[in-house]
Amino acid sequence: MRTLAPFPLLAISLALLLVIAVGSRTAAAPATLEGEAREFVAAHDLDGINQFKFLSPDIVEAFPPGRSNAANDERLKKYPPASTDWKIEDAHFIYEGDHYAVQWIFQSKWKDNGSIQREATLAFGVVKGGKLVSWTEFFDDSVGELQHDGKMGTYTEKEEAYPWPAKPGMSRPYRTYDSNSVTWKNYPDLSVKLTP
Amino acid sequence: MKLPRFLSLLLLLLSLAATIPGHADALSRDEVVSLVTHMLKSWETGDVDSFSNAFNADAVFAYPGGRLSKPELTDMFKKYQLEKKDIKIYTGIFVVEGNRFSGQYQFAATDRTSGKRQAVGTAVTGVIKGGKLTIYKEYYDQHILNWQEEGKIPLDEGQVFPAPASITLGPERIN
Repeated sequence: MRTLAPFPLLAISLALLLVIAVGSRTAAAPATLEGEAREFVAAHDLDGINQFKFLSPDIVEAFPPGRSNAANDERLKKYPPASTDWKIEDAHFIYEGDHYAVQWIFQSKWKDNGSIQREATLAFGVVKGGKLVSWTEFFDDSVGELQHDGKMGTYTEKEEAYPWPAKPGMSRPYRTYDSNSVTWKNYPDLSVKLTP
Repeated sequence: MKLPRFLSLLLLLLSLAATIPGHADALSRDEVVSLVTHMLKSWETGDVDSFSNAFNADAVFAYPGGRLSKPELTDMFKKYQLEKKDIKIYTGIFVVEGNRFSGQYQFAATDRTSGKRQAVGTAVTGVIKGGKLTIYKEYYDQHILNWQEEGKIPLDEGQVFPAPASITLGPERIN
């Protein structure tokens, strides 16, 4: 059997090189991420809408129009939404323990003029005991309004979710007041407070 | 003839070490969060190099309003610093899986001309390549900063939510 015995120092150095290479990869790479969130999403085949069937009674929710909970959700049931035919496309999930994040394109049809809105969303869920205990969505709600008014193009069918469509037909400066691209004045009622 | 044989073995081992997948790109969770947080915090200091160095040369930065290349992003950062002051970043939760991440933060700034302040809940998601950001997307609702600057809704600065923390979801914008 041939060995590296004639070159012990080099042999040891090579061995160390390999150990360092493999060891540094092991230390730097993220741990395998298994947990309740991944199992929860897989078990219920979640798509971004049907997770609302699995809310904990203690759910805490937050959306661009405001925060909510089970009592407030119940209050809102008497108000029909302004659009119909809701569906989710191109949902992509990442997981970390009890947390997950998902990005998708939401589509619905405005009831008043029949136009289609397609908005990209980034949402976060937290799962405990097989129920969703926290749900938070971020999106630019002006996208759907601008599409309703025929001022913005929509995402194409195969388009990846980005904050705005690839061809919106307009632009907006970064984090700067812009009354031209936010025209709807449906201000929130600040007197309504969340109750347990 | 032992030395050539040894050199061959040396090359083989070095090649094996070099081809271990993911070695160069893999960041730990803490490193991913640190990369993103450090980049965000550079908005507060105005350090354009610190901000720019977090992105790859071919990075795409997307926000509700457009998509920017790295040179465009760097120019925008410099211009924004001239237009705003007292920028504050409040970070929230992060979810990290491999080279992908999503996180929450609040961006607050005061317009130097109008003196109006905004504090807008934001979500970010992106992909890291070679230790730097290569795809970076920010989600926030333009209504929030518009209505804050109009004095219609509160700031609730320092609380990381999509809308100011004291606003309750009503029927006005369920669509």
